[in-house]
Amino acid sequence: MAVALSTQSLRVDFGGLPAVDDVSFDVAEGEILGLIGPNGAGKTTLFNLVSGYLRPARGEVHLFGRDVTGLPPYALARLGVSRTFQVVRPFPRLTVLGNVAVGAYLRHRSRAEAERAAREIVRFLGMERVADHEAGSLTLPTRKRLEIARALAVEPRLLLLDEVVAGLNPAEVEEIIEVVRRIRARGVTIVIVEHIMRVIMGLSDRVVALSYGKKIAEGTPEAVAAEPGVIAAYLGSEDDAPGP
Amino acid sequence: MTVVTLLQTAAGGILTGGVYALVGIGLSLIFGVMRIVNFSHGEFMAVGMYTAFVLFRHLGLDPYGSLLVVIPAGTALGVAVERVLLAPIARAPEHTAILMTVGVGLILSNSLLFLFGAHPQTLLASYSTATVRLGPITLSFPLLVSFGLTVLVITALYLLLTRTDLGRAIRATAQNRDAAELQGVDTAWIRTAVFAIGTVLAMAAGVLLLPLLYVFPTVGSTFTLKAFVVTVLGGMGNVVGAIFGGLLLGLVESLGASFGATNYRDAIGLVAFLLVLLVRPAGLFGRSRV
Amino acid sequence: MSSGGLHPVLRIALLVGVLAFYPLLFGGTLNFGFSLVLFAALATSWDLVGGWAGQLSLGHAAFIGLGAYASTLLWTRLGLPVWWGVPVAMAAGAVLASAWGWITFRLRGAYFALSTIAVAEVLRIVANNWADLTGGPEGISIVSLPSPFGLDLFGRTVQFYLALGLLAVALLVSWRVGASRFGAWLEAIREDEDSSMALGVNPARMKVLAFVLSGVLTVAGGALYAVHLSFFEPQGVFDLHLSVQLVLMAIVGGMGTVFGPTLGAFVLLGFQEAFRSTFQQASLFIYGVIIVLMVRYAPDGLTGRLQTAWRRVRDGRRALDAVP
Repeated sequence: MAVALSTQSLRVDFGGLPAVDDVSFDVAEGEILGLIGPNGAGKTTLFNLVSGYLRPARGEVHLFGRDVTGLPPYALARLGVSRTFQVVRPFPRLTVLGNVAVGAYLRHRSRAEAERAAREIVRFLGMERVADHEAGSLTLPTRKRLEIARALAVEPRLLLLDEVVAGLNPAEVEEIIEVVRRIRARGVTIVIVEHIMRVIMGLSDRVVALSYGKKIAEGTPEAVAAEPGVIAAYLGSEDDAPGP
Repeated sequence: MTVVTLLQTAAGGILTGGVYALVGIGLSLIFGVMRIVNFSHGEFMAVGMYTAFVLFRHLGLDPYGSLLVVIPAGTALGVAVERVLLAPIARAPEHTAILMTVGVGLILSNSLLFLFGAHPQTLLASYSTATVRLGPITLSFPLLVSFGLTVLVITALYLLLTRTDLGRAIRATAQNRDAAELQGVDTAWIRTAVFAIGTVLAMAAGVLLLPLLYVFPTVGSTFTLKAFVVTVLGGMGNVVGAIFGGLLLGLVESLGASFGATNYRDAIGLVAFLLVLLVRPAGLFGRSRV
Repeated sequence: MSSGGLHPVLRIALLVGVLAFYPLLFGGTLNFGFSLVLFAALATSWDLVGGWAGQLSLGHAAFIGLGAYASTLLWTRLGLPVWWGVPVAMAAGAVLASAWGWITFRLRGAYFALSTIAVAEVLRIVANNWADLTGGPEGISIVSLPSPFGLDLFGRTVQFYLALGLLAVALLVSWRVGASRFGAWLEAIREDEDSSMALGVNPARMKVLAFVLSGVLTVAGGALYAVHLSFFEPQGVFDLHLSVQLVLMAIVGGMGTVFGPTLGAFVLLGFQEAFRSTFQQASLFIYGVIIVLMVRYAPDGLTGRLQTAWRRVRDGRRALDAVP
C-alpha cells in the first residue's frame, strides 16, 4: 500500500513556543485518517504545514514519496493536495458554479471543460439547485458543502478536511459523513479534523491524537480512545471526551 | 562639505522630521485602530494650514495660537467625517475605505481651492526669518519652535494613550476589536475618537508647518504621501515607529537634497519608501500588517 | 456569467459600429468624442487590474505619461515614427509593469495603492526635473508627425478612429480575460487571495500579468493622448487626478465587467461636457462627491444596479438561497 502523506519530525513555533512539535506519521493511500486533540493542540497548524501555508522550522513533508517541504499552496494543489478551511472562505461574489470552476481550471484549461467538470462536482454534492446562486448569499450548511466541492475540483489525491461539520445540525452532519465516504470511494486519501467524536471515530480507519503540539497516540479509533493519555488530554471538556 | 554644514543640514532635517512624524503618527494611529488607510490625511493638514492662515490674516492671531482653535475644530471635523462617511462602511472590504478617503480628500482640497484660489500664499510673521545659534550651527527659529511644540503634542498623545481610560480602550481596540467589545469597550465610539485625534494631529501639523512653507490647496497630497512614507518606515500602526520614521525621512531628505539636486527632494523620500516596501514591508522598526 | 442576449463579441462590435458613426453625425465635437472613446479605453484597461484582480491602482497615470513621453521623445529625438515608437513604448510599459508588479506583488490593498501613487509621483518628478531629456516643466510640443498611408495624424477624425480602435481592443481583451481561466483566477484573487492559493492559483504571478496587460494598453492610450494634445507637460500626463478619473469611471460604470468602465466614462464625461462652465472649475470637487456617494450607496456601480434590477425583473424574486 502506497504512502500518500508522510510527515517527519515536523516542527513550527509561534512566538517562541512550539505549536507543532516533532510530529511524524504516515497516511496510507486510500485511507481516512482522523486527527483529534483538544483546542489549541495544533491540528489546524498541522494542516497549514501540510498544505503549504506554513513553512516548518524543522522536519519534512512527503507526498506520495516526493519531498514537498516548503512548497507553496498552489504548487501543492498542482501535486494533488487540497484542503478546506475551518472558517469557510467562499468567493462571495462568484456563483457556486463559479467557485467550483476556479478549482476545476487547475486541471482544465478551457472554460467549457472547466465548467463541465465543475457541474459534475456540483451534482456530486447535490448542489444543482443553487449552482447559479452567489456564494455570499448561501446559508452555512450550503457553504460547507461548497467548501468541499471547491476542494474536490482540483482533483486531489489527498484531501484535508478541517472541521467540515462544525455548526451543523445532526441531519446535516449525517449528510456530510455520507459525502466524505463517497469521496473516499473515488480513491481520494482523506485526513479529517473534527471535534465531534462520533464523526471521527465512525469515519476514520486510523486516528492520530495531538496535544500541545505533540503526537500522543496513533492507532485504530478504539485503541486511541482508550489511551489514558488521550482521555487525560480531554479532561475538562466533557462534551469533547472520546468514547463510543 | 564641512562638518558644520553637515551637522546643520542634519539638524534641520531632524527638526523637519519631527513635524513629519506628527503627520505620520495620526495616520498610523488611524490605521492601527481602524484598519483604514486615510488617503485624505494630507488634506486635513492643509485645512489646518489654511485655518491658521485665515486666523492670522483676519484676526492677527499668531499661528501657534491657532493650535488652540484647531484642536476643537479638528475634533468636530473628524467626528463628523467619521460618523457620516466612515462608520457606515466599517465592515466593507478594504478598497471601499480607500476610495472613500480619496473622495473626501478631493472634496477638501477642492473646497480649499474654491475658497482661497490656487496661488501659493505665505505667512510672514515677525519671526519667520529669525534664526537661533546653537554653537556653530544656525537653526531657523520657527522650525525650532515647531519642533518643540511637536514634542509637546506627541508627549500629550503618549500620556493620553498610556494614562487614560480612553487611551487604554484605544490600545485594546487596536489589538483586538472583538475582545475589546467583550470587555465593554464601545469600539464604534473609539473609532470615532481615534479618527478625530488623527484629524487634530494632522491639522496641528499644518499649523506648525505654516510659518515654514508656502500654502496652496494641493499641498495636502504631497504630505499624504510623506505621511505614508513615515508610517511605512515605522511600521503601519506602530506609533512609536512613526516618530523614528518621521525623523529618518526628514534626515534623508535633507542630506539627499544637499548632496544631490534639491529638485528631487520629494522623489528621494518616495524612492526610499519603495525600497523599504521592497525589502521590509513591515517597516524598519516594527511589526505591521501587510 | 452572461445574462443571455447577444454574444459579447457581437455586443462589442455593435458598440464600436455605432460609435464609428460619431464623426459623421457630430463632426463639430470631435474633441469630446475623442475623449469619450479614449478614456473609455483607458478605464477598461485599468479595470483589468482594478476590477478583475481587485488591486486598486491609483497610479495608472504613470503608464499614460510613459506612453506620452516615450513615443513622443522617440519621434522628436530619434525620428522614430510613431508606429515603431508606440510598440517600443508599450514594451517599456511592460518592463515597468513587470518590475513594479514584482516589487509590489506581496503588498495587499492599501500598500499596493500607495506604491502606485508613489511610482507615478516619482516619474512625474523625474520628468519635471530631467529637463535635458523631457523639456522639464515647460513640456514638449509635437510640431510634426509622420503621415502613414497619407493619414494626417493631427486630424481629429483620424485620432478618433485610432482611439476607437484602442477601445475595441481593450473591450475584446476584457471580454477574453473574463471568459478565460486567467480571468477566473483573477477574480478568485480579488475575492480571497489566501484561499485561492489552495486551488492552485499563484497570486503574485497572476497579478503581475494583469498589471502588464493593463499597463501595455494604457501606454498605447498615453501615446495617443500625447498626439491629441500635441503639447503636454509632466503635470498633465502624470497627474494623480488622471489616475483617479480612471478609477472613478470604472466604479461608476461597474468594476469587473466588460462594458462598465466604458459606461462610466461616457456618463462622467457626458456630465462634464453638459455642465462645462460650472463643472469645469468644480470638476474635481464633484468627482470627490461622486466617489463618496457611490462608495456609500452604490458600490457596484451603475452596471451593478442595472444588473440587480434586471435580475429581479427576470427572476421575479430576490436572490435567495434554497437548501439543496
